[in-house]
Formats: sequence, C-alpha cells, structure tokens
Amino acid sequence: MRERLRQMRDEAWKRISEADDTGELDKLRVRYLGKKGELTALLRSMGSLPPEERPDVGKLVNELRGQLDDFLKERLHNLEARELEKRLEQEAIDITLPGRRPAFGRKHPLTQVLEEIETIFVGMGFEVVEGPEVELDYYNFEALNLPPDHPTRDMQDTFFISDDILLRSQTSPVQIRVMEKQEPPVRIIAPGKVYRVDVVDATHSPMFHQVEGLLVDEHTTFGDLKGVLGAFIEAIFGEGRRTRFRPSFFPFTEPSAEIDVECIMCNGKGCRSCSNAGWLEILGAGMVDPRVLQRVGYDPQKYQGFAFGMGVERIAMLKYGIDDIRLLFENDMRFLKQF
Amino acid sequence: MLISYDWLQEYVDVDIEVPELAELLTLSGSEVDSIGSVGGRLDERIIVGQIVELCLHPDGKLLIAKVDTGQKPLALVTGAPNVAVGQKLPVALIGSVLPNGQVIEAVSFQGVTSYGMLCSEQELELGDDASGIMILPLDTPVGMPLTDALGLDDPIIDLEIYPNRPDCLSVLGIAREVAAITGKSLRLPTIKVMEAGSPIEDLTSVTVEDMKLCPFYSARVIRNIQVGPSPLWLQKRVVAGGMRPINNVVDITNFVLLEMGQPLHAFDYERLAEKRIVVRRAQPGEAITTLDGETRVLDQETLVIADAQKPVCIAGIMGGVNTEVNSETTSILLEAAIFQGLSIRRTSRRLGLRSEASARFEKGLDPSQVTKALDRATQLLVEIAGGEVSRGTIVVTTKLPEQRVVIFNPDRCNRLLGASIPQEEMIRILESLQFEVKLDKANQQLEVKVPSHRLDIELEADLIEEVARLYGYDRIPATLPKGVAQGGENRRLEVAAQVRNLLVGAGLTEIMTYSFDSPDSYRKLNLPEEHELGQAVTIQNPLTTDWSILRTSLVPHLLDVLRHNAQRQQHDLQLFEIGSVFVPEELPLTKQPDERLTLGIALMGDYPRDWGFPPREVDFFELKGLVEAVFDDLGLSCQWEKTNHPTLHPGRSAVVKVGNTKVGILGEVHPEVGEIWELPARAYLAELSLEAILAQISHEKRVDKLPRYPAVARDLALLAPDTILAQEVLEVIWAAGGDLVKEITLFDVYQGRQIPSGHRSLAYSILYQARDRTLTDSEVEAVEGKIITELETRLGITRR
Repeated sequence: MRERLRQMRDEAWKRISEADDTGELDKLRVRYLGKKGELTALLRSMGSLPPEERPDVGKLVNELRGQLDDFLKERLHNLEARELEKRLEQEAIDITLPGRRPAFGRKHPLTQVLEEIETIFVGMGFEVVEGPEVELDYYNFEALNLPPDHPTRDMQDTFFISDDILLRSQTSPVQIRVMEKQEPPVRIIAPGKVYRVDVVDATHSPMFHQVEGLLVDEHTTFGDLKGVLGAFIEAIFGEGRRTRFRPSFFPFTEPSAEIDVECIMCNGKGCRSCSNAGWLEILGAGMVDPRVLQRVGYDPQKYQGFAFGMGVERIAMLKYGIDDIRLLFENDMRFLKQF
Repeated sequence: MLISYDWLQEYVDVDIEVPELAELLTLSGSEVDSIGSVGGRLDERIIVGQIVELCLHPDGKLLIAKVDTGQKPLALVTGAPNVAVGQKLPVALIGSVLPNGQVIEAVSFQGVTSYGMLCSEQELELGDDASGIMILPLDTPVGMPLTDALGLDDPIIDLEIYPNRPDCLSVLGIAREVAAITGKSLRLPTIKVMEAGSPIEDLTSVTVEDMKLCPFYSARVIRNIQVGPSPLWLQKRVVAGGMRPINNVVDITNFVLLEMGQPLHAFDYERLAEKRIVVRRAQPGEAITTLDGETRVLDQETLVIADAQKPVCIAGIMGGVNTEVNSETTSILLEAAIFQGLSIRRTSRRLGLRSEASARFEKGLDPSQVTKALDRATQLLVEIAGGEVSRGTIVVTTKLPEQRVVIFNPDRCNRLLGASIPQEEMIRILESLQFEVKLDKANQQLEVKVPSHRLDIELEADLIEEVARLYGYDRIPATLPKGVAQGGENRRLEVAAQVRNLLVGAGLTEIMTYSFDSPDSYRKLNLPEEHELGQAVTIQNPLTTDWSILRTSLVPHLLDVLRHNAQRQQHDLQLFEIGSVFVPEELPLTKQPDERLTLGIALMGDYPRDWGFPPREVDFFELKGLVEAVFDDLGLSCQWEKTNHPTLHPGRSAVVKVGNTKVGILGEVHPEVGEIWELPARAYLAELSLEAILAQISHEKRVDKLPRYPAVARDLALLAPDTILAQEVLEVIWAAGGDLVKEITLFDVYQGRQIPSGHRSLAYSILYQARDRTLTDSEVEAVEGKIITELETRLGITRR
C-alpha cells in the first residue's frame, strides 16, 4: 500500500511536471484528485487494510493529496503565465501605424483671437455686447462728435446705403447705443465687423473686425485706462513687452491716446513689420469726451470713463506671423488647417 | 508735414539730436512718420560750377563748356539744350560716383575730352527732370560740394498732424511745440514793411459779396517788382517743404505758407479788369482755366475771386492762368484771406483738386495771422524782388471772435487723469503753450485764455489733454478700475460659440467671408428674379459691382469657397460659417435691415480616409445628422419636411422646423447649380437661422430619474413598401408601443436581393422598459405584437 502510494506519487509528479498546457494539467487533476480519480480510489480501497494501519495510511493519502494539489496549482500558475506571455507576444502590433483620429476641424483664426480677447476682458469684468453692422449716420458719426461735413470723417471712408444709413466704419457706435439704454456703471466690450472703402491689398480689407471697449463710472481715470490696456497687452502678447501710450486724436475722446507695443517681430530693433520704428500701433483709446456723455444723458460732472478700440486682424496677423490680410478671407483650407 | 531741422533752428534753439527730438515730438502728440532728407549725401566731388564760356563742338551738335569750379576751369562736353554762359550747375568731377554707382571718368567725344560731367536732376536722383542740366540759383557758391550748397543732407522730419491741430501745419507751429516741450524760447521772425507811393485805395478795391464763405480778406499791392529765380536760401526752404521752386514771387508765397501756415495768392495786378477784386459765388456756367492748365466749369456753390469781369481764382484752391504771375509781371496784388472750410472742402472734392492751400483752409486758420503773413510776404518781396509797396492794406472782415476763456479746475484734471500733478506744473505747461493763465483763488480754478491759433480748444477736457500730453502719458501711474463688475458673454454669441464648438468637434472647419456680394450670385443659385433672396440692400458706393449688395444668404460664399479650394486640389471639404445676413424690410431702405445671425454648412467629397475604415463619401444624411446634432446640443427637437428650392436637388432637400417655425433648409446642391459653380462633386448645403433658433431655446434643464428596472431590447425587421416614409413607420411604432417603448433605433436599411421590388427592409432595435417593474417576456411580446399588427393594418408593412 505504501509502495503503491509512492509509485503513484512519483508517476503523478512526473506527469504533472511534463504537462505543457493547461488542458492536460486539468486532465491530470481529474485523474488523480477527481471524484473518480486514482487517489480517491485508493482511499476507498483502504477498507482492505488492517484497522491499525488505516490512520497512518489515511494520513499519508491526505498528505499526498495536499502535495499534488499544491503542485498542480503551482504548475497551472506557471503554465498560465507562459501561455499569457505567448498570447501577448502574438498579439503585438506595429505601433508606428498612424492613429485613427476623431475628425476635428479648426476655428477660424479671427474667431480664435476674438475669443481670446473676449476672455481677457470678461475676466476683468467686461460684458460682451453687439450692435448692428448696418448703422445710422447718427450713431456712427454724429453722436461721436463727427457732424456732417466734418473734415475728420475723411479719416475713414465709409460705405453708404442711403443718406443716413451706412455700413459702420467702426464699432464705436455700440458705445452710444449701450449708454443710451443703460445707466452707469457701464463696463462693456463690443466685438464685430466694420467696413471701410479700402481697395483690397496685402494690408487692407474693406471688411475687418474691431473690438470696442467702454468703461464709465464715477471715478474712472486715465490711469485706469493704462492699467486695463496694459493688462490686456500682457495677456495677449506675453509678459515683459514694452508698451507706450502717446497722445493722439479721436473726435470722441479727450485726452486721446494711441498705444504702441514693442514690435513682436524684431523685439524693438526695427524691421519691415514696424516700418523700422520698433513699435507697433495696437490700440486707440482715450477718455470719453464730455460732449458724448452729455448727448446720451450722462452728467459729465458726475461720470467719467474711457473707451478703446483695436483691430482684430492686425493682432491676429502679428500673433501668427500672417503677412497678407487676404489670407484671412480667402478661406483656403491649407491656410485654415494650420490653426 | 515736412519739417527741415535746419529751418526749425531759425525759430528755436534745438540742442538735441534729431532722433531724440523725433521721440519727444511723437510722445507729445506730433507723430513722426519718418526722418529723411531732400537728397542725402552725394559724393563730395560733385560740386557747384559756373559756365564761363560755351562753344560748339566740331561735330556741330554737342557743346563744349568751360566751367569754373573754383580752381582751374574745366572743359566739359554736354549735349544738354538748356545751358548758357553764367549759369551755375552741378559738376561731377573725375573720380566721383553718381548715386546710381556710375564712376565719372575722362571721356573723349570725337577728339574733345570732357573732364567731368554736368548733371541733370535725375542723374543726381534729386528729381524726375532729365530734360536738361539742373540749373542752380545764381547765388550758389562756386566750388562748394553740392550737398553742402543745397543742404541736401538736412534732416527732414515727416510729421503726421492730427486733424484737430491745423496750427501745427507750419514750421512756426512746430517750432512752438518744440519750444514748449524742450523749454526753449521761441524766436519769431521780425516783420517790417516799408511802404511808399500812392495809398492802396487809389489803386484797387475789394468787394466781398459772401462774408459767410469769406470772413476775412486782405490785400496789398506791390509795384515795380522784378520776377526771376529765387535766391538759394529761398529755393532750399521751398524744396525742403516738399514744393518746387517756380519764381521769386510764387516761391515767397509758398515760403510764407510753409513758415506760417497761411496760404497767399499773388495776382498779376495789371491783368485784373478794372484793377479790382470781387469775392463772390461763381455764376452758373462760368469757367476758369486753372494753373494746372485745366478748364473748369463752375457752379454757384463755388466761391471765386473775380475781377470786374471774370473769375481769376477758385478761392482757396487754385489760381487762374489769366492773372498768373510770369516774367512780364511788374505789379502784383497779394491776397491773404480766410475762406470757410466746409465750402473749400466741398469745392475741392467736387473738382477733385487739392492743394497745400486748400488743405489748410479746410481745417481752419488763425485770424490773427492773416495780415501778419501778408506783411511777411510783402517784406520778402521787397527784399528779393525789389518792388515798391503801396501804402496801406485793404482788410475786409466781419467782427473777429473774441479770445476764448476756458475754466480749468486742477483737481478735476487730476481726478480725470488719476494723477497728482501739482497746480504750478499745470500752469507752467499751459503757459509754455502760450495759454494765458489767471488763478481764481476763490474758486480754486484757473481762467485760461486760449491763443488764437488753438481753434481746437473749447472745453476743460481739451486743456486736460494739453496738460497730460506735455506732462507725459508715461508719468501717469497705471491703476485698475475700482468697483466690482460681473463680466459675461452675450447670449447670442454664447450660442454661436456652442454651435461652433460642436461643428469643429465634428470635423468641420470654420470659414469667414465678406458680407458683400454680387446680385449675380443669386441668379447663379437658379433663383427666379422675384425670389426673396434677391431682395438685397444695395451699397451706394461699392468697391466693385461684384461687391455691390449685402448678402441675404451665406450660400453664395459657401459655394465660392468650395470652388476656390477645389481649384487648388482640395476636394474633400467640410466647412461652415456663422455670420449675419441682411434682410431689408422694404426697398429702397428706409430703416436698418434685419441682421440675422445665420449658420451655413457645406460638405463635399469624402471624409478623411483612414486605414481602418472603408472610404466614406459625404451625403445628405451626414449633413442631416450634423444638423440634428446641433439641435440636440441646444436642447431642441426638430422636424423635417420635404421641400422644393431651386438651388437644391428636388428629391434631396428638406426644411427644418422647430415647433411650427421654419428655421432652415438643407439638401444636395442641384446639379445645374453645381455646374455653374464648377463643383467637381456632389455638394451638400445647410442654412439655418440662428436668430430663429435662439428664440426657441429654453434655459431650463431637468434630469429624469434613472430607471430602477432592467430594459429589454428586441430587434424588429420589417418589409415596407417604398412609398412609406421612415417617419411614418416611426410614428406608428411610438403610438402602438405606448409608455413601454423607451427608444427606437433604426440600424439597417436594405434594398436588393431577397427583398421584393418596390419594397425595402427596415431593421429597428426597440427598447422596452417600465418604471415600476421588471417586464416579463409575455408583456414585451404583447406590445411587440400590437406594433406589428398596427404596422400591417395601417401601412401594409410585414415582419420579415
């Protein structure tokens, strides 16, 4: 009996060691340890043994059962690991094949710049408003201190629809429309398309975009104008760029200023983009003329504010190094896909 | 405005370099455009010579000139027709280099050697004249390098003068600014006129018929003058100011224009009919030949200077040839006047004629300067052209406006600027600009008297700007606005951004096109003449006829962009635009048109190919799916109806509705239209009114509770007659399924083998679910059975 046990153990050990897939291993498990397996049969045949030997043999059988079970488990684990390894090896792919991308398009570069500008000003508490592109002469000119036949109307040649309806030549009329409807404090920006009689070339377009800004309150100062526009320039062109405010003229602001940024192409050394000046003109601004405030019914003794305006195309062209404004409206996919 | 650095020094001592001066000017509001010179530095060996002798070359055509160059006379051969003994001209000596790089060598002309070259303006790149040798003023010093003699390297600063500062349109005006910004004192020219002979009233008279258009007219008569070329210094000034020397009389009037900013005009006194001046409006049909040789027919809106019979000058714009000063002129009537800016502007526009003079009249002149300028020119005429000044000046004027006084509150100034500029500093600045300041201590304010040349100063704000610009914008501290404000996007733009984000995420690229369009575009959409899209707003002054109307639809430009790209090997296009279309209420326009924010989508060709998928062409349902996604994203459900639009394929087009409102149209481009627009493949268009959609969007969003009981999915394959629309099938299933049907998904549409002709197979996956219990098989089967029965009885559809 003990001899048979030893034989069985050696044989089982050998077989289990030699099995080289999990299926075979499973068969061996059934063969030895199953309900009808050899070890079970052996246990059953113990009845033929003398009663005094039974406990010892029974112990041996159970020991063997435990050993075989452990061994089977260990082998199974090893074989599974090997098989997994093999499978993974077979499943290897050429990871240099291109990925399949979800389709995605691009926003127009002007939209991207407009969104950036809006985000910056919204962050500073400005509200985004719109106004009509087809405007009344009154809003585009008269309310902004530009009476009919005023020489400064020549500064911006305008498309007319009728004697008093025109395509707005600036986003400034939105200032007037907002102030007519709303009491101070007013803190708005007005992005949109504007139109001027300019023949198309590399730097001119009869349609372009502006963003107008207006802040009117009781204590708004020229210093605030400098602060707000300085923060804007830093946000859009990056920190550490020199800027300068210099006196200028707009009919509806007094004092007026133009804001130059150190040329971002040549860092102020002078190049073609800045006509060798080292500076790029980015914004026009100023304190709202008291006559404008009066016309919309604000008390200029009580309220004061600033207004500013910028050309979106110019900023986009500087930011992205676009040298021809026509590219922005030709909509060539080879251009648009770059953004 | 061109300002000669050398000339400027006559009125103010500038002791800083030109670039630094330019910086100061720019930062105080006179923007420097560029710094240049009349001609730059020429080779030192190009010098001034004088012809002492001329003889004919043996060939009978060329001339041999003996030229004094300060040393031994040189023999120079020239073919120029305009040389004469005594003239002074530029000589390029042997070894000198011309601006174009040509090196001058001794050259033999058929046996006669030329030891240098006489030069034309063009050869020296000083002008366009190549017709002859450049003739220099007689008092040009012989032997001096031409650069020094003519001041060719004198720095010229080109300034942009803003429209509110006409007082800066003169060298003196800029000198005034420079004096104020550098703290130097201003040196005005001394004007002194020696009068002699008869009083002017005996010689002429001036009648001003329209004082509104001519509020100030003054005249002097100068007799016995000698018209001829101007001396060197005068010619240099005129050239530095960007004008051409003509003769001493004209040069003097131009000099004073440049120096003081006051235009002047000289008439040939002897040629004035009855020797008198009438300032009046032109009679209808009256004509004048102006100095540029053009004959111009005038109308009653035009102010003219006339003599007793005829116009002799278009007031403030250009003189007539009939009284032009020429070499025979011996007496002149000199005019200095102010004309109404608006009238000059209109006339100048109408005639298409602008001059240095008209530009200044348009912007306004200082009335206190008119007779000063008249005297300044008279003085120079006597000095340069001889002449005898009749006694007295004729002045015709209305009462001049009094000097303005503006109240200025230093506190308010600092409050507006956000600065703390001391009051004394403000007074110093204002006084440096020639404002007279009186301190009103009681009221803590200043009474500021505005100098007559500052027509732009009307309000305190104007004075604040003066203080700020001279104090320096850079010295005002940057601060951030006080107070809390809530920023935010506007709803319309927010929705536009949401739609844009969705479409970009779905693979479409955004385009941006002009609002202008051509009336022809709408014909090219196959639209009948009377179609509403053809009723567009017309621009009165369009750039071109192709851009003469405002678009009523985004479609033409979408098609333009498809074509533009297709012509550049870009055939597979998925793009969209969000922009306004302009819809007039009535034409011609009496009020602003409706501006409707609109979404346009265009698809053509294939989707991007990829190695894991079969190639996929865009089609109607791709487009419809995009539009459905847009609505779904906005929380709206939409309905579809077949439609007929001349631009679209009649069997493949639809209108989209939200509720009962039509919000857009979409479909395949009609093959005829595709051909007109030269599209290489089938294209699909959608145009949706975001304006209409906006009105339908609700802000509310509520979630449903998640189901607690499992759902059962069952497939249902149907055999349906062709004539039954998918929409009808869907409606029957929903109706028959009742509450238990949660979702219906069409997953296959098939026609072909195994399907009887005139039929198609539609396969749906239907999800059944109850809120309060787990459905049993028999319950689901009962509902399914009902659906099948209804489909069969109502639509003749059977289960496959």
